[in-house]
Amino acid sequence: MPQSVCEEEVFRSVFSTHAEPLINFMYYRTGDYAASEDLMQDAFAKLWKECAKVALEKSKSFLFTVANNSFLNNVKHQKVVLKFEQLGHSQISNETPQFLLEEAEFKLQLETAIASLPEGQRVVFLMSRIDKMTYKEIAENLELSVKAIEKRMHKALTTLRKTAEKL
Amino acid sequence: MENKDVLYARWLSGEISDDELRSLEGEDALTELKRVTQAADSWSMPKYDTSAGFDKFKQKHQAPAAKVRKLNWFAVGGIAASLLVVAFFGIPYLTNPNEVLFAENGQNQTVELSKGSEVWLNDGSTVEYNARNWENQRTIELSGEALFEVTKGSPFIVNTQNGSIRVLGTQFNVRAWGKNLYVECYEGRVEVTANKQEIVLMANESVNVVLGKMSEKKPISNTAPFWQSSTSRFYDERLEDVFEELERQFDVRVNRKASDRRFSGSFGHQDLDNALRSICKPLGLKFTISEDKKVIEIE
Repeated sequence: MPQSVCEEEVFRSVFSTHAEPLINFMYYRTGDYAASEDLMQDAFAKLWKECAKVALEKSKSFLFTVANNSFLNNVKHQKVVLKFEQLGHSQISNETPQFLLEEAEFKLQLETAIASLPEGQRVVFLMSRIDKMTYKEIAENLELSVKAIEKRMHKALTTLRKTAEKL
Repeated sequence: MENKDVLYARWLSGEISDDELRSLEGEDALTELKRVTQAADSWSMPKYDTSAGFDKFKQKHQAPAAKVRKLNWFAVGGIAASLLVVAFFGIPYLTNPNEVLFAENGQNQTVELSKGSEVWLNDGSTVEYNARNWENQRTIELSGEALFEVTKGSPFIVNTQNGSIRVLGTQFNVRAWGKNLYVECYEGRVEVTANKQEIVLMANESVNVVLGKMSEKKPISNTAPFWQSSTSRFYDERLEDVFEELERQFDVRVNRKASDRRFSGSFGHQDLDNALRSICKPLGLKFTISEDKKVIEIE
């Protein structure tokens, strides 16, 4: 018999695997971490309720779709502001104050530019760079073709490249 | 290049080289793209604590109907009370393989295990047991404090991180916070094992195990644990443990300096101000309570 999502162990492992990518996904759309966690929790509640109807291998796209739908239906669209933590510093060792200031300024500009990207492009770019997902994985999550993901990525990079050009 | 509209994406996934991109788009494009991706690659999202997230999920959401029906075999065994567990705790009945029951801070809980055996959980305490094999193996993992009333049957064993208690049919309280294990026996007899030491308690006797060292048996005059009458009582216990108990009972946070002082005495669970006074006054400590009554500062 295939494993059922109704089994606690199975459900728990689905949770451990997908909770974080799901929150991150919603954060890239909303810019609100607490709201993103709520959307994630609600998506899992729906999965739990419908566990008998959702096959294990479909649970991931089920979760992403549900979270996405309730975002579209319930969350007021507002200007998105994104902030990311810096993982240590760049490789350059002699960091002058001037350089650090420029780096910080660049980060801020880039975050703003990313936040202003069309939603679809923004999500793809961040899943790829922050969550280190492959185009194939992103395509599965969003139920799109790999080619569509590549197009969005190209567009996102084209815009962001212009931001870098100006600085 | 046929795939002009996916060019940068392909470059990023390594499907075209830097040289190819340079020849197509020029040196500047490459520099700018690298600057963007290198910056974004060094960013991260906060790490999500999935196990805390899952606990939160369990507390918030009821089990689906299918879950409860699964219990039928259990009801056949004559233990309809198990359904009460769901009602009391609002935790999804996720039984595979172990039943986990948790009393939130600020609320005691009672559970009937089976055939009249009962457990009362003190605030913030957890018990875990295998419901399926319960009749053959009455073993419970306890973290925190609970009162047990056990009917006769197969041996009843309570495991804690500091030792275990084995009984045949009796009433006893186990307190197992931190490094401390404290057992009071009210009826029948129990056998306490910790760190290879064993002791048998008769009714109205208690034993304390601190850091793996077992004390002599002490007589007790109470016939139920003090927390059941909404009082916490301590005998020469670490002040640290006393404040932890206060935090659990009132669901507050106590900001204090680490201390190796000890405390004997008690506090009631009705009034926070009184409880704090009962602890602080004898020790000459001063305290302030925040406006929302959630945070306490100890000087």
